[in-house]
Amino acid sequence: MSTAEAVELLRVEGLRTHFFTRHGVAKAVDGVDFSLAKGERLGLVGESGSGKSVTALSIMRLVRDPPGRIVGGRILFEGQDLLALDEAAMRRLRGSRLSMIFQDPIAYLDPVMRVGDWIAETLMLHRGLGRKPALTEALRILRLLKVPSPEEVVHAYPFQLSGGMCQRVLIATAIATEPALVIADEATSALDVTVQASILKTLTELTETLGTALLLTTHNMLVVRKACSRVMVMYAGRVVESCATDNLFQAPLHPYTIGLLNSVPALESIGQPLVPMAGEPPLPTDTLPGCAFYARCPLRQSRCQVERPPLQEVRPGRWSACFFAEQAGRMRHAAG
Amino acid sequence: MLQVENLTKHYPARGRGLFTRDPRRVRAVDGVSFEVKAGEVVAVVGESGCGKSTLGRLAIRLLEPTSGSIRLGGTDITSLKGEALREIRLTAQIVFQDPFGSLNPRMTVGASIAYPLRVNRLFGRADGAAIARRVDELLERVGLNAAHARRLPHELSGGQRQRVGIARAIAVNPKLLVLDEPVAALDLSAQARVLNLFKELQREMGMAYLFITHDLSVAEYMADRILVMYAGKLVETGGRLALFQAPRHPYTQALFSAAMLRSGRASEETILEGDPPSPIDPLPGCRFNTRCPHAGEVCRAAEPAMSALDDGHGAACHLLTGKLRRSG
Repeated sequence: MSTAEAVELLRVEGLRTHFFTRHGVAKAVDGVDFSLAKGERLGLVGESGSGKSVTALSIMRLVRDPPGRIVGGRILFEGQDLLALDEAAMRRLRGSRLSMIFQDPIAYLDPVMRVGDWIAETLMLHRGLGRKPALTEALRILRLLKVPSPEEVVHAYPFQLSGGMCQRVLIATAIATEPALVIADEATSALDVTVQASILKTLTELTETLGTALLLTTHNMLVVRKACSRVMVMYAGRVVESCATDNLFQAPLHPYTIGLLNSVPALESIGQPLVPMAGEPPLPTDTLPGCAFYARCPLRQSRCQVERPPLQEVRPGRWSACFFAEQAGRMRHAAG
Repeated sequence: MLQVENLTKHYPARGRGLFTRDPRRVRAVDGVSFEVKAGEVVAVVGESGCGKSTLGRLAIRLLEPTSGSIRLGGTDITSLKGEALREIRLTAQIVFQDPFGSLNPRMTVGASIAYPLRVNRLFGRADGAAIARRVDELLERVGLNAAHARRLPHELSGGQRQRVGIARAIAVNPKLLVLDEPVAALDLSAQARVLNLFKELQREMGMAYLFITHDLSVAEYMADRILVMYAGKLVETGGRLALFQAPRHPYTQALFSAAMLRSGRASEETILEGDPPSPIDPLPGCRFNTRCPHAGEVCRAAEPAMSALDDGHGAACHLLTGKLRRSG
């Protein structure tokens, strides 16, 4: 999709979600901006604690309060600010215009409810269908997802199904109302690779058929590479790099992204040693005036410790939150 | 170093009620043979439930095999008991996946590492100072320092805890390490550092590794040779390069394609339908036949034997025995 014809679906501006804990204020998400076009597939990658899941939960307004709270920013979805909606209006949106798929499918399904009823419930609630037509529709959706013997699956309880099958049921529930946006939070991380590949294919095909946008959070760079056209890398509650997926893998422009890529063994780099990053990410309760990656960065200068680099468009379509993005680009070339 | 012949481990299936017994068997590992040479890194890859962890534990007698034989350093260890069994722990050690569960939370790091030295009586009973020196040396060897000896596991990060597990395993200078998903619980950067530590230790101490992992990129990075398991069976084995460049078994092909190690789009992949079969009383024939894109009549009737291809590469598929022709 070219940018000219892209219709904006979601715009997140200055999102800040903090957790108020005994140990201080954990700034899990601390100033995140991005937008997502209709039908676009965007990947949100980062290691544990980077804020990618909290970003996803914030958009759904599912952050548990207390201890968490969205303390700033705007989330514009189809033109309306989700943060200004009351809970009843938000509940009408969830599951109809935007829906979410979680990492652990078995934990999210009701163990004493047949999965057909589970899918049908969404349809009864949001589309006002009766139970019979809702069940028929559930069956149709399972067929659309290429679930083998769907007639049996609708009558099964979650414990009778495999993890991959439960995840398909959650996907069926998420897309039942043909939402404009599906958020998949580590949705394939608990699955085996062959099942993971098949679920990712289903998700990408569905978004293409239905024109649904997808926001996929994952710690796995390779999942993003397969499923998403654009990617954002998060570190310590902020976006540090954002660009088209191919660009990220070919020529990353932030030292943290380079560190991540150098930590993943891949076929293209057979025989090359992994170059892990030194040190650990900062604690979310730390207050750092400068760049959060400063302590681990091979390119750091004294400026980085006192001044926070903003996320800037350093080349057309390439955003990096590094004062030395161009040097970073050359660094990857030297290493690769 | 390690030779395993026709190794099998069956468990009774869990009964449906308290007093009913289920006569069926779970065939966790079913007739697996392989060898690990001295100083060699052999990776066992496969998806959850394929039997790879069971295989690792059987190999060093942490589990009792149902049948088959295991030789370690030339000695048959299949039915060793008591003192003789304990002595093989001086040759073969294991590092577990979960760095939280595999350390005693109430034991200091130093005490955990000293434990194998004490039970194996590598030092005199009274020689506490020598043990402490050895513990410090081991901590430094794995990238920690002497100060860590007094810490408790909960004070350490996941990567540091895994290093403690490694120090404990190499304390007795073993010749073989079984590594059971040793980096699966770690974040990417910690994972890369621990993998590099394994490479370093292997180079310096000349140990052989049986490296169990579900992550093909990790296997590719570490292994000299790779074993691919599916539903309790060995389906393909070969040198790392041969296997990654030209996998021959349809399951290996699908697995490598699914692992997304190459750049490309989801649409170009071989996607398997369905899930792995239950290891409880599997159907006759090839265990992969329910998901195989090439499966024919013969695959449902007879189990394929391992066909030897060139240079130690082998795969168990009827496409290679000549009994099945490739469809499409």
